[in-house]
Amino acid sequence: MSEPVIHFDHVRKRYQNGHEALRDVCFSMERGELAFLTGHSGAGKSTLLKLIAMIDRPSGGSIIIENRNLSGISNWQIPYFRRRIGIIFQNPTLLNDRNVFENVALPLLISGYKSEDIRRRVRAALDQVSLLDKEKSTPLALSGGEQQRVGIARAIVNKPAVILADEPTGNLDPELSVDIMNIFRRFNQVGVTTLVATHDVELVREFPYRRLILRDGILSEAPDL
Amino acid sequence: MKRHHRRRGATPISSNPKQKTDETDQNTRQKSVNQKGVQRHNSLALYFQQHHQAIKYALQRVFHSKSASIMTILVIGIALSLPLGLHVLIKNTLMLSKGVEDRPSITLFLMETKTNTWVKRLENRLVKREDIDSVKVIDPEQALAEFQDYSDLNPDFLKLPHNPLPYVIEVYPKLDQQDFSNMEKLQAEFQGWPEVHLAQLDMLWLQRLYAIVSILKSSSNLISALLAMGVLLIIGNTIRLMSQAYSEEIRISKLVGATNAYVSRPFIYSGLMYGFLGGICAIVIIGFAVILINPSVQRLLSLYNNERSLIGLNMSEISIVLAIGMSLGLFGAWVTARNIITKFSL
Ligand SMILES: Nc1ncnc2c1ncn2[C@@H]1O[C@H](COP(=O)(O)OP(=O)(O)O)[C@@H](O)[C@H]1O
Ligand SMILES: [Mg+2]
Repeated sequence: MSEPVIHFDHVRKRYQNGHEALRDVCFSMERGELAFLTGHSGAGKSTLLKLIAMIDRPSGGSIIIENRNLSGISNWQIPYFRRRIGIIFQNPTLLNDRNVFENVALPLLISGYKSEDIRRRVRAALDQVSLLDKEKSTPLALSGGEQQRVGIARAIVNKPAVILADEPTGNLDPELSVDIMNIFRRFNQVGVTTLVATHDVELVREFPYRRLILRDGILSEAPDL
Repeated sequence: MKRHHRRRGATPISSNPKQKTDETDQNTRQKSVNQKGVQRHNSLALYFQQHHQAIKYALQRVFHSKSASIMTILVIGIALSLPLGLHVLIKNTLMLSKGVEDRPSITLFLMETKTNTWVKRLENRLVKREDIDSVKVIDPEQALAEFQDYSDLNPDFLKLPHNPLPYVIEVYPKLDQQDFSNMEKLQAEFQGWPEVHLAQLDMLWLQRLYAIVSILKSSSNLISALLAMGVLLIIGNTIRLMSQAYSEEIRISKLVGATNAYVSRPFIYSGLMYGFLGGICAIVIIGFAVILINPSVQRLLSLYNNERSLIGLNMSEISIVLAIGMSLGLFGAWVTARNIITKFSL
């Protein structure tokens, strides 16, 4: 059977102030799987995503992403590792002094793609979030939902193996949230492993995917799936 | 409502193996795009592309905060112009002192009893020496006449029963003997001769000048070192402020896989530009200073029958100033940017 893309083995995270944000977390996600990560505010959802993206390192246990144990990745290798992961935040973190096209092109520029490939890929990514006609706009001229979609296009333009979304619909009204989730679903259907952290209970009900629940740093699987 | 969704959720719509088989054609299509899609630059082309980009961003950043940039450039320019000005001053002093008709000499006052022929022999002995260029003998009558010419005293007062003045020989050493320590050695030697009553070094003017120059030189080194530190601090501070203005860009870039080197590069190029423009600024300041000061220097030199004028900066000095400015800019920005960006927490 297909091997896990994300694998947590007894992972702990203790912050410097002594706070245990994650305790003994174990789970796996296969290639092309989509899952929600739910839990109350402060439960450790962002912490868990940060460990996958190597924004922070665990205090114990091991994390394996695409067959690589993250403890074997040294600091200078992190940027190269991160190019395999698309990250989306609650606030669309766009650069307002660059237009939509340039924002989406950023990961490709950083990875050193040729300009004709950048053009082609950025257009494809913008097409997938239905913003092809907005490529020349500045992010400030877009609605909240559109800005979030630009952020998604930027996260997927590098064709990552894993997409991590931290409260991607937190600032959006319900219909827009459903739109965003449908976009994730499309990527997921082409084999991208997607983990969406959210405390949006309505949204989770709307989409019947696997649910991981964090409660004070302890992970459990939703029983009724 | 809840129930309905939950029940729907319970059916294996989300079960992935199923979904995959449903979407096989889409999956393979994606893969073929993937294979054709990964066209990266080779390493050399990538290197040039990324540096070209970094220079572009650096220019944008330097020009974006115009007033801060102008301040930084001016401060660097002024800081560099001080040691540069001192250097030009020293260079001109040494050059101009060579043309002044005031050759250093040693004056030998001989014992009173010496006769004319005896003095002639001494003169010959001196002239034959390797280290002496020429000598000039002044006999007592000549000396008295000269003294009377220059003196404002009543000539009658000087009508003495016999001439009290001794023979005097002025000794002019060769050019390579004209520095202070060689002159002192010669003076000591002459003083040791029994026929010499007094050997006196006549180089006060030059002596003072060389003393001043040596003070200028050593203080110029100290000033240069201090101001170089100052320039590093100014550039570091400017780059730090700049990195605060671009912290969002740093954060996003790092999140999408930018290396520390990639993120630092525009800042390092900005520092290089500040250093270069500061160097240009210093060169302009010194250029204007030379033009402003030159007329009064020429007036002073004309008193010594000297037709020369101040010399400004030559090409190699200009290149050295620019190289120093750019090195300081590069180094200051590099240390600061690296420090900030490696510690940057996402
Ligand atoms: N850098 C940090 N230092 C100390 N404690 C932190 C840090 N980041 C998060 N925490 C704490 O860890 C817990 C989990 O935080 P987080 O992962 O952000 O939760 P969530 O995303 O589920 O709201 C919270 O109690 C939070 O206060
Ligand atoms: Mg959070």
